[in-house]
Amino acid sequence: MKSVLKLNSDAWVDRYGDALFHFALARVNKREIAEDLVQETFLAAVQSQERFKGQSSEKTWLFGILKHKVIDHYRKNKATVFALDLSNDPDSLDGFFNAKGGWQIRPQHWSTHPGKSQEVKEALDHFYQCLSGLPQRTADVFVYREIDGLGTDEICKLLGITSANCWVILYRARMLLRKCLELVGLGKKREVSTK
Amino acid sequence: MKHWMFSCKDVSQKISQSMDVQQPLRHHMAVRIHLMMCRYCARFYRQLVLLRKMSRHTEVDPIQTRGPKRLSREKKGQIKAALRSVT
Repeated sequence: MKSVLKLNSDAWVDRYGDALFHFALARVNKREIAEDLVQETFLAAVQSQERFKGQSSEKTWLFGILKHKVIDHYRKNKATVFALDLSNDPDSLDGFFNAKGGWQIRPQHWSTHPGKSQEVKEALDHFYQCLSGLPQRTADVFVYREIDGLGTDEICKLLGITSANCWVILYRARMLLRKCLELVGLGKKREVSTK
Repeated sequence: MKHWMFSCKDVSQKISQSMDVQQPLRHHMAVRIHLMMCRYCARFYRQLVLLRKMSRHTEVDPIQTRGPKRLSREKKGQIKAALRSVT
């Protein structure tokens, strides 16, 4: 596959370095770590430039790589982040619904105010921490789909899974992320069905 | 809670799937009707939309970070040198 990028690494750093650094710093809160993540992002971009097909902008593509790096960082430092172990809970989807298929644990109203930047930051911090707590395979599929924007066909080819399997994994990822975000307080009070 | 022909569990699966592939019109309509009658599934739908927005969020408000928000000149130089060494 031929890359559509004409690599000028100095220009990349000048053009996108500050924006990537700013995003990384907001996620990890430590300047040195954010700098390292940006460097790793550029290095990964150089090494994988053949895979850039021009379907998204350079900026979107670089941010996608950075988000992978942020998730990896959270994964490696689980002791320092919110430790909700989602990986050892294979039956955790069962508890969401009752035998009749109604909600057992009802979805909460998520209080999000797009205008309040501190709330947006906290929501995004929780989001990345929850994402890093998902089982690896589940997180990979979700990240390919939602962060990288790949279609399910591409994900199936990449991971050697069927479409049906891909949709099940995505459903599971979304349910677990919801659960995690509600547990860390994105929602209001938990409503349990008594029916 | 059951509305129309799908249970909430069915609807949650179909909402998730609809974010990845177009659903048959019959299913789409059944889900829409269910959502009009079930506040919890409607909340679930809004939550999945928000998860997508969070996944694709790239902008950072200036007050979200403290201290200088730019890479130092020294670090930019280091990154450029590292990149030149691998290209």
